[in-house]
Amino acid sequence: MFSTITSAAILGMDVVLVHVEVDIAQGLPGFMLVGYLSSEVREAGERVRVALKNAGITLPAMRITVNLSPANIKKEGTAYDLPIAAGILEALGHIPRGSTEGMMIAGELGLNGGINPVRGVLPLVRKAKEEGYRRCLLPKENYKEGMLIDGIEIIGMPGLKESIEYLKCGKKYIWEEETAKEEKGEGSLPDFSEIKGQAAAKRAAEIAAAGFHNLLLTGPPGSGKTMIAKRIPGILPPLTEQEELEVSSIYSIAGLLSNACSLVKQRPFMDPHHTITAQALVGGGKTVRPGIISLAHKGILFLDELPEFKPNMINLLRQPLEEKKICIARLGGNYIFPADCMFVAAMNPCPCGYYPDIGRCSCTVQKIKRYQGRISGPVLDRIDLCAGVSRVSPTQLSWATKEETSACIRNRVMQARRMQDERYAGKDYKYNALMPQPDLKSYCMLGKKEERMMEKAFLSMQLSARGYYRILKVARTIADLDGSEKIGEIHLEEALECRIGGEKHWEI
Amino acid sequence: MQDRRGKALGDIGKKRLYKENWEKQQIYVYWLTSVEGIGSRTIEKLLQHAGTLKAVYEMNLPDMMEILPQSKAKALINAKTEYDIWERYEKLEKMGICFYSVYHPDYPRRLKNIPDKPYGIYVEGELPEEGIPSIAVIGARQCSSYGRFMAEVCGRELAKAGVNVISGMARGIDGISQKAALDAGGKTYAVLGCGTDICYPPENSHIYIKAKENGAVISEYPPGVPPAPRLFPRRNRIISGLADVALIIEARMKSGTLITADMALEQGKDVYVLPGRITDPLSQGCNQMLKQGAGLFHSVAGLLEETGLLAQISCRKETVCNGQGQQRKTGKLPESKGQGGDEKDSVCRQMQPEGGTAGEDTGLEKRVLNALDFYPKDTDGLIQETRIEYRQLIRILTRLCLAGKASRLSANHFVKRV
Repeated sequence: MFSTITSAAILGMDVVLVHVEVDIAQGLPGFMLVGYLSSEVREAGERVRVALKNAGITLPAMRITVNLSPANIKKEGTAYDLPIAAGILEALGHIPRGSTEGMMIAGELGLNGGINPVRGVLPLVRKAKEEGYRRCLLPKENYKEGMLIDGIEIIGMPGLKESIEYLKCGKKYIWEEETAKEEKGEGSLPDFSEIKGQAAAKRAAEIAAAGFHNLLLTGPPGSGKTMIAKRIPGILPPLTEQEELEVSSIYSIAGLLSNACSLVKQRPFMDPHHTITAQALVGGGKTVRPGIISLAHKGILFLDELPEFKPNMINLLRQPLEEKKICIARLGGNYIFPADCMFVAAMNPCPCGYYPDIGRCSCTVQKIKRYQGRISGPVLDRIDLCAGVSRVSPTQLSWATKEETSACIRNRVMQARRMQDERYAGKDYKYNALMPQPDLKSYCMLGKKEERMMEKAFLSMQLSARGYYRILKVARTIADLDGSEKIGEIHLEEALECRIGGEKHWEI
Repeated sequence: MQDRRGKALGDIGKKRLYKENWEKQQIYVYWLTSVEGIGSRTIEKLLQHAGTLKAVYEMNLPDMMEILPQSKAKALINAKTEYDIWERYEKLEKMGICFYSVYHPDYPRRLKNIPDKPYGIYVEGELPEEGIPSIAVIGARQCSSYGRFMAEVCGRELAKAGVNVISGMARGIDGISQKAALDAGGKTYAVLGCGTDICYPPENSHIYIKAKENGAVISEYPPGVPPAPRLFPRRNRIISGLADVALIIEARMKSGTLITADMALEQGKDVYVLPGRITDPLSQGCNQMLKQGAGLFHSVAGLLEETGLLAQISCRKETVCNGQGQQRKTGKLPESKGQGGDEKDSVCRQMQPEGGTAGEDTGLEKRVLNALDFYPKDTDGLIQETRIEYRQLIRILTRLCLAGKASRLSANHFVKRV
C-alpha cells in the first residue's frame, strides 16, 4: 500500500516541490519519518496520529514509513502535517486512489483534527500553478492568500474530517465569509500637509521619491525627521500589480501576511530599532527568513538615529543597497532575497543634537567627528541626498500657511517616474538612482555653461569623483520633476545643495 | 666625561667654568623645574628656607621633607641622584630646545614682571625681541564664523603691522590667529600646556612647525610632559605675560579665556575685547568684560594707537633703519603698512562683504546676503526673512557659495563668508 502526495518546501524565496511518499506494510508496528527532517517535521508523526484518531480513523498496527523526497533538502516547518495525513489515508484506502492527483497540499494539523494556517502559501501556490497543478488543498485561513493567484483551484479546509469528505466525494466546505476588515487604504497614510515649514527636507524627500534615491535626514532632536520619513511612502507611486505580488510573497514567507489584508497594497515602511541583530536586518537564522531589508522591498527602510546602530550593522547594508538583493550563504544552501528598498536614515548632527546652533551645542569638534565617524564612508557613498531638518520655532507651528498635500507631491513624483520609465525602457534598472556610471554620459549630458559651473563647484566644494556623479544623478531627477529633458543650471544648483555634507565644522 | 656620574654631583656648579653667575643658577633652576609637580611657588618656598639655589641643591631629604610634602621632596632628591642633570641639560640643547631661567639675561623682561613667573621656560625657536610689541590673541576653542573671521583678520593685520602674535596654539581662535599671522609673514609665539616636543593639538602641526622658524614654541614644562587639563590654565599666565596687550576675540561666560583675561589684568596688561551681540553666547563673556571696563576693540590700527604700541613700532622702525645690526639678531621687520589709516580701512573693507562688489549682485542675491549672518541660519529662517520661495532661495545660496560669499556649514545651514 503505497501513495504519493505533492507538497512544497520553501528555501529562501525559492519553492521546491516535495513528494510525500507513504508506505504501509506488515511488520513491526511503528511510524517512521525519513527524508532530512528538522525536529518540527519529525514531530508531525505524533500530530498526524492523534489528529487522525480524533477524526475517527485509527491507524492499524502496521509499519508506516513516510519519506519526504527529495531527501537531500532540509524540510522545515509544519506544512507537511496535512500531506502526510492525506498520504496515509490514501494508502489505507480511506480516500479513493487518484483523488489527490494534480493537487498540492499544505497545512498544519492540530490534535483535534483541525487544520492550522501555514506561512509561504502565496509563493507555494504560484509554484504549483507553474508546475501545472490544478488544485491546492490549503488551510481555511490561507484560502484568501491562495486565491491571489488566478488559474488554479483553491480549496480551503478547516479540518481533517471535511478534507476526507472532499477527497472522497468532492464536497467542498463552504463557510460564511467573514466581512473582511476594511483594507488599509491610502487615505490612512500620514500626510505631508501636517508638517509646517521644513521646505528643504520636504523637497529632498520629493526628489528622493522621484528618483528612488537614498536619503539622509539630519537635524536636532524633536525636529520631525521621523515624521518626514514616515510620510515618504505616501508620495511614492502606488505599487504595480507585479510589485504587489512580489512584496506579498516575501511577507507570506515571513509569515506576516494577515488574513484580513491578504495582499500588500501599501509600500512597506520598516523602521527597526537600533538594537537589531544582523540576522534580523539582512535575513538569516536557523531557518532562513527574509530580514528587515527584504521586508522593506519596494518600500522604505528607515534607520532612525543611524549612529546608534552598531557600525557593523550599517556596513551590512553596503552590498544589498548596491545590488538590490541579499544573498545569504548558509550550510544548507544559498538563499537570495530581494532587497530593492529606498534607504532613509536620520541622525542628529552631533551627540547633543544642536550643531551648528552654537548657542545650544556643547559638543567639542572631536566629539562631533567621532559621532559622525560612526557611519562609514562607503555607506555615506550610497546616500545621494542629504537634507537638514531645522528646529521648529513656536511661531512656525502656528503658521496659517497651507502646506502642500502628499497627493500633490505624488503627482509630480509620478510624472518624473513616467519620464524615467520611458528613458530606461529595456534597461535592467528603472530609476535614476540606479543609473550605472557608463550611462551617465548619455542621460546626464551637460551644456557648456553647466559644465563650467560643475567645474567650479568641483573645485570650490572639494567634491570627489563619486560625489560629482551623485550630483549629476540627483540633478537628473530634479530635471525629471520639472519635466525637462535637459539638465539645466537651475537643476544643478539645487542638486549641489542636497549633497552629503556636514563634514565641515566651525573650527580648524 | 665618565667621572661625572661617579662624583655624586656634589656641586654641579663646579662642572664647568662659568664666566657668569647666572649660568650656574641656570642649571639649578633646570634641576628644579624638570621635576614634575615643582612649580614656582614650591621653588620660592625652598628659596625662602635655604637662601640660595645652591643651598637648596645641597639640602638632604629630611630637611626637604620639613618644608615639602614627602612625594615632592623624594622626587627632587631622586632627580639629583638617579640621573645626570648635566647630561640631560646638554641633551636639551641637542634637541634644539633652549632653557631660560629667570636668571638668564635673555629671559623675557615682560615675563619677569608678572607675579608667579615661571622660574624657567623651554623655548624652541627665538624668544620675542624686547622692543617689538606683542599682542596675545585669545578666544574660545569653539568659535563662530564671526570669531573665526575676526581672528584671521587680527592675526594677519597684526603681523603686517609688525606685531608679534602670542597665543596658545589651541583649536579655534588661538590657532586661527596664529596661522593668519604666519601666513602674513609675521612672527608668532605659541605657549603650550605640554612639553615643547609635543604638538598639541595635533591638527595644528603646521603652526607648530612654522612657529619654530618664525617665532617660537614656548613652555614652562620640560620636554616629554604630555598635555593635561590641569596644565593649561597655568600656561595662560605666560601667554598674557609675554604680551603687552591681550586681545579677546570670543569668550563664553565662565571660560578659560576669561581666566586668561583676569590674569592679564592682574599682570597689569591692557585687555581689549571684541564686542559682540548680547544674544550670542560666544560674545557674552566679551560683553561682560566690556561692561567691567575692558578696552573695546574696533580695528587693529585703533588698538595699536590707543595702547601706544604704534609709536613703539614707528620708533623701532627708525632705529632699525638708522643703525642696522645694532639690534640683537635683527630679524627683518615684516612689511608694515606704516599708516594706521590703511589698516583700518582694510579691516573695515573686509568686515563689509557687500562692499565693492555690490553692483554685481542681483536684487534677490542682495536680499539673501543681507539675511545671512556669521551665525548659521537655516533655510526655513531665511525663507521667513527674505520671503523668497524655497527653490529659488536654494539656487541663490548655491550661487553665493560658488562665488565664495556664503558657505554651507552642514545640510541646510548657511553662513556668510567674507
